[in-house]
Amino acid sequence: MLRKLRVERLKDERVVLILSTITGTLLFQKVVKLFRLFRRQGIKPVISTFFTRLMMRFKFVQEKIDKEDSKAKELFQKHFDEITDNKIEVIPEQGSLEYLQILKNRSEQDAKSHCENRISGSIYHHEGYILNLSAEAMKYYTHANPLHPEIFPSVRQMECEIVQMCLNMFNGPSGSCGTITSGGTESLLLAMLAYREWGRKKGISDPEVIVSETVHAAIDKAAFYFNMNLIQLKVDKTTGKLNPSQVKSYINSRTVAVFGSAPNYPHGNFDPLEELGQLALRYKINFHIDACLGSFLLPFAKDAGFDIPLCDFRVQGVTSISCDPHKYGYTPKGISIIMYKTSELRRFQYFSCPEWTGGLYATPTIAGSRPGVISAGAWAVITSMGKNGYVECTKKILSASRFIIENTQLPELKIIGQPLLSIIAFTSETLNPHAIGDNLSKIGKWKIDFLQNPPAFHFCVTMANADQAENFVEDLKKAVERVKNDPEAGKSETVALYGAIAKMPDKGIVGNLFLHYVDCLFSFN
Amino acid sequence: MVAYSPFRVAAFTILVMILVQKIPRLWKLLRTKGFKSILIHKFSRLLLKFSYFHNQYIKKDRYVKESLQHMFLSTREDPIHVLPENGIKNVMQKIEHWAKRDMKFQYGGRISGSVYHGGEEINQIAINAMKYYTFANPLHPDVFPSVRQMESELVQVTINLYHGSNQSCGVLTSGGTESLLLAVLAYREWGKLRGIDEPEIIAPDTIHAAVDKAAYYFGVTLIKVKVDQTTRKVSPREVRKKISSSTVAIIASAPNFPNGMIDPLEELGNLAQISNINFHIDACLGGFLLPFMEDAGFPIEKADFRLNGVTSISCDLHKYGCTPKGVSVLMFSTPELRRLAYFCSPEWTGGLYVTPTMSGSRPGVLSAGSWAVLMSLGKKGYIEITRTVIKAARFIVEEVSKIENIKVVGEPELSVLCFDSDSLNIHAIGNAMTKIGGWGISHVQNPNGIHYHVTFANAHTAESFVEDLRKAVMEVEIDPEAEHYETAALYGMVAETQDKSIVGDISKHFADCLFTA
Repeated sequence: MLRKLRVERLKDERVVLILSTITGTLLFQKVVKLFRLFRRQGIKPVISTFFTRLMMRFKFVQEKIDKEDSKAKELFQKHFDEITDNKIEVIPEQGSLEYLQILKNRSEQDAKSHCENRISGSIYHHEGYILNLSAEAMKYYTHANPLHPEIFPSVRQMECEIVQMCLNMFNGPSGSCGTITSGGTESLLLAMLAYREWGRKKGISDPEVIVSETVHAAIDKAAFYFNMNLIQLKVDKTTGKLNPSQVKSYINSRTVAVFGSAPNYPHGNFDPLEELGQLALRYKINFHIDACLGSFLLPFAKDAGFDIPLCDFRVQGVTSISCDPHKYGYTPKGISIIMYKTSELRRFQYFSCPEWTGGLYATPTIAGSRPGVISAGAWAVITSMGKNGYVECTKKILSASRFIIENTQLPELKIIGQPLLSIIAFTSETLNPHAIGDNLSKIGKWKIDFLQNPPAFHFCVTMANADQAENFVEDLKKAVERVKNDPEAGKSETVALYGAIAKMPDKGIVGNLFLHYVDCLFSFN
Repeated sequence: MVAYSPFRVAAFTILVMILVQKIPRLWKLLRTKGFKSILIHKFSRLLLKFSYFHNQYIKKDRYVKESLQHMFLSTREDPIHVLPENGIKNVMQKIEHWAKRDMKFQYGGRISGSVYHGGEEINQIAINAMKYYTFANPLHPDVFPSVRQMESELVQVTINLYHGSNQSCGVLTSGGTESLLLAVLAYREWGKLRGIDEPEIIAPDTIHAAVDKAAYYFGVTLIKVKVDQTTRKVSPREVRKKISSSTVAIIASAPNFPNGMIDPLEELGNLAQISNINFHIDACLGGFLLPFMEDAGFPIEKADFRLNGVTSISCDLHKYGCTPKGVSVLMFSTPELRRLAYFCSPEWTGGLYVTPTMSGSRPGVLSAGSWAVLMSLGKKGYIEITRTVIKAARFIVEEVSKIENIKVVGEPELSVLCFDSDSLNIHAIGNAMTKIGGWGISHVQNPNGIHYHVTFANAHTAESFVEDLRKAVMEVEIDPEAEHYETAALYGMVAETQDKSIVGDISKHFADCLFTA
């Protein structure tokens, strides 16, 4: 009897033990996951997102958000309606050449709607001969498709040559190679993909990539697309730079790569490339330099007489570099280069489907069919510019941006970090920087870009706007003066929007408001 | 009896738990890949560790590499490796020379698919339009408002051709691949909202490789259903068997690339609707033939938003729309679905960042060129093109069925024709076609076949196509040895290799060669 009782107690004990082990293990696994999430995103944002999501379950909160939502929708629709006329919604029964005239009128209308040489970035060269040259070259290749190299062998050759010239400009060692992509975003996506696969080969199933918060959003996009974890580190508020020792503390066995910008899009600052390269080398991980924006300024800055940090394959530890000819290479839009140190790395970005019923299928980049017409236009521009042509342009752009930096040292204005290239970001400790930016656009029809975290705006000097440096400085001073006298002066919807975002604890909600903007891009209502 | 030890029990429990947690993944792998192919893969990877097999692999690898390099480098003319010190003065001369050299391929009318122009006059319109927009970038709709308008119009016009409701909407992408990628992405996110962590998509094995690519990129499991070997269409019953609680979508083609067949869209749509999942129609290839078939005098079954259950359709303008390369439209049945394909980074230091498609900057020049082509052809122009293309395709089908030792696969309704032979090596016949008349034929596999896309550019050579095919069949009848034909040898090698991932590695040489000067 006593024995029986003991056995039962033992059985009970075992059941309890087993159950508690199971619960304990499950809990442990959850805690590890949560811990990793906190480490990647920080405790505060995770908790505040959780609470806002909880709040949204309440009807009155949801109603308020819905109201904001329809307001944003209306705002964007109105904005786009204003720049749209005579919509065509159904294919014309009888086609006609008259539409070519309509198209010509529309393109002229575009030119009138903005002051062409006062736009930050966007248009990198506006002189007629570049436009004519690319148009001339493109007319032979409207239907060219590099997916079929046997039908368009000359497109293949031109693309090879563009890649090879870029490799040489960035001092690629022998064995370095690259591919042409459709733009900076695709180049960054492919680099991320390559490093995911690099990690997979090494048995890393949950890859992490370390970047500064100022890297291009395309890296964020890649992490979202390819199920990778991004660790975004804050930059130093005064130097605008990433701290290498902080990067070091985040490197672990799951880290596959570090990304640095040369320069970054928001502030035009260079990440500490040499130090990051050393770290990558030491921990045997990959290091990508995003030179998409600096593109064809970087290799020529020295010859143009300007001192910039080393940012090519000579930096120790670099495994890949991206560079956009369609920015400071002045080529037609839609071309970027992704370069790798070795051809083994490049293969990680390929896709092959050997069993496909449609035949053996292998593609080097994301696209299947690609527009050869862009490559032909780019080839013509690059080869006819030549090294000397690019040195000339670099000289002009960098002189203009140095002029702006030197002449905007106002007490109310602060330049973020030390921009060495063509992008200058302005913020202010005493005034609302977005209001200054807004007034600047109103005073001189300038088109500048708004930034956040911290609130700021930037101007990107190009060949198209370099002549306007003096006017820019003058108008900027006027704008500062105006906001100083009347802090409420000319606050537009954009300023209000950014103000609203800054107040929101969960940025996802603001993101949703902004989706209306994208909805409008391809729709009329 | 083993003594009772709490540590042992705890350790044992943890071990069992970890194993149990692995089971669903293993089960999924078995279910999607099949036991046999996993075994073959592991086994052949093991074999490769032995130097004998490894050497054989290296030999094959080198053979493919060298023959590809030879093929590519033979067309090369004084390559440039370094940026010229001073710009080249006669750039246009060089381009004109190259363009004229390549022109014979494009305008010879003997290439399957690939070149889809609408004649010289239409091409000239595209050129004229493009010159105003070489630097246009739709990423900045405020700087290029007219590009935004033209893109919206292209999307809206296409939605109307596909009988979209007033809820339907779309995006403009860079090509069929991006359209399919974004559709799969949207469905992955659709699943995520419903708590599906490991989404699955079901498609016939004739679906475009871009869907495989999407699955690989986005971590979605693609379950391929074998098509019926006679009709080359997927059976809805087979598809239904594969639907599980993790299934987010079915994707089918109209028509597929390998055989030119239209899958049973109506049944699949109904199936999707009953199962509460999404249904995508890939009309990338036939996109601008389908809406005009009836008016051209060749009525076919519906393949648009009028069908039940259709949630998205992809349609390439740069194929039978005859526009410049690099333009496709992805349409969704509701704006909520479209939003799932967007990317949004609200906190980015560079400002609020939202993009509708995969690209950031995009070439507006292609949209402008496409808009001009679409508007100047109009509905009547496309009906005319459709009539010409389908007439030629039907002519070829009729004539080829009279030739012995070769047969048309299934009953093609559109412009893609696939041929097979019961008695001869079909790849050899394809090779002979190239040798005899310089025909650019595509080779397909699983099962083997050759296929030919009739386009507006090659419709006028239909008679000589049939003539040369007759000759090619005769040639292979006389010399049936597959070894004597290059592509036949290549596909023979592929068929022999059990582990296809090895073939995948070898085929990457092709991509390597593309960018080697």
